[in-house]
Amino acid sequence: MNRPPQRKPSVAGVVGPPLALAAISAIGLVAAFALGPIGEVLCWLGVGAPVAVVAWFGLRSGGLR
Amino acid sequence: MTAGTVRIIRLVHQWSSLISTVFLLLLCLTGLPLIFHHEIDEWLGYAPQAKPVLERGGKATVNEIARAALAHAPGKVLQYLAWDRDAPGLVIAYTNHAVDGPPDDAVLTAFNIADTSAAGPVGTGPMLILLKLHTDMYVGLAGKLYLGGMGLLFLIAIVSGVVLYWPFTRRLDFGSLRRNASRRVLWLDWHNLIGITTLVWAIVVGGTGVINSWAELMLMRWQATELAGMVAPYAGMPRPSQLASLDQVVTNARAAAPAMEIAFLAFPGTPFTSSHHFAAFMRGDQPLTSRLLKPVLLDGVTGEVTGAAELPIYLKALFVSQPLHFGDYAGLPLKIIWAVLDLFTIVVIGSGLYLWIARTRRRPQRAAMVPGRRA
Repeated sequence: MNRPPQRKPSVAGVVGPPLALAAISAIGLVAAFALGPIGEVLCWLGVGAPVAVVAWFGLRSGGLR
Repeated sequence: MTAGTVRIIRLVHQWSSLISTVFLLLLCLTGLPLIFHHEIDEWLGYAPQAKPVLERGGKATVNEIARAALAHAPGKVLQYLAWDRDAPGLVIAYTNHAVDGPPDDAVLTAFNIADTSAAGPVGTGPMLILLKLHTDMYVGLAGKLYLGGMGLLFLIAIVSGVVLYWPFTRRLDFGSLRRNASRRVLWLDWHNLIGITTLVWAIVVGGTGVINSWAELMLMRWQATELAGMVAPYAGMPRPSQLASLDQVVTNARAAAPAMEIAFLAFPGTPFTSSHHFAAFMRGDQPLTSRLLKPVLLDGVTGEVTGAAELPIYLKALFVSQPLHFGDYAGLPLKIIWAVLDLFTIVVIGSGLYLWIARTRRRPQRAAMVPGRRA
């Protein structure tokens, strides 16, 4: 992360990623119903996005310890 | 947001979570293997296997399947016949001691379309125990409604948690996990990160779980309103002593709902129809339309179609909510993702409990260190 301790993150920096993830998850959840086989792949990517994000931040900071 | 508002929302988040914690853990732990219930049933030998239907051998008729089912369960009656989209070589027969017998007394047996032989029981084994624990804890409708209430508390906890996200993380970059702080702070960061990233999934699974817990109530309402209206002209008619040919019933139902296939056939007197009618529930062939059943009512004696209607919006919501709850609508990869998200939810619930315990323990210490200051 390496940011200066006094820097305050922007509102977009704090709530933007969760909002984007919420939208991606929502699209993923319904994609398989609406788009057939391509929708299934979109579904895996969209619903799996939170898993990837948590894994990314977890691994970056040293795992679950 | 004022400090007072944050305190109130924090209390809502804390107590809605704490009250439901034990039951949410039960739901998450039993739900985890249920995501893979098809695979587990196959591994454990509880999934009936269909014999191949030979092109030249032909298929058994619906009448032949029904006769085989009744011969297999002497003294019982047929309640339903069901055609599973994922097992096209089988028909599942529901037999019970009476046409209006309770669902828990029904025996489900799969029969081969190839030769009418019994392929084995359906819905038995360890997965049935987990399903009962997950849906009603073996106490029927009261258990379903109670777990539905716990689901509502879960939704309240999620919404209040989202409201608290900004006040608690506004000084942190998204995804911050403060390794150098105390264990409590680190678990708070994990709680916040996993909770906010899995937000939509948790709302959908929690919300659809609540809807599923109301399934019986929805069915009762449909019977008392829409279904009662459809069968009103036949009110008071007794159950037919001689039923129409099932093959004719299925053929007529298919003709009344072109481009649809039969999902299940309810016999006269069962909760899904009137005392005088068969009800054929038809499904489409698309991912969404295959979930939205269309009921076709057929005269119990003649097999003629007497009415067809779209399901009301609340039953459509119920049918769509089922795959969205179990995550079984986009193959094995989605099931695996669903399972990981279930495990994440267990971490969120467990970390929330840990944070509450840690905070409760810390409070007297801080009060002792700083006299007069609220912990």
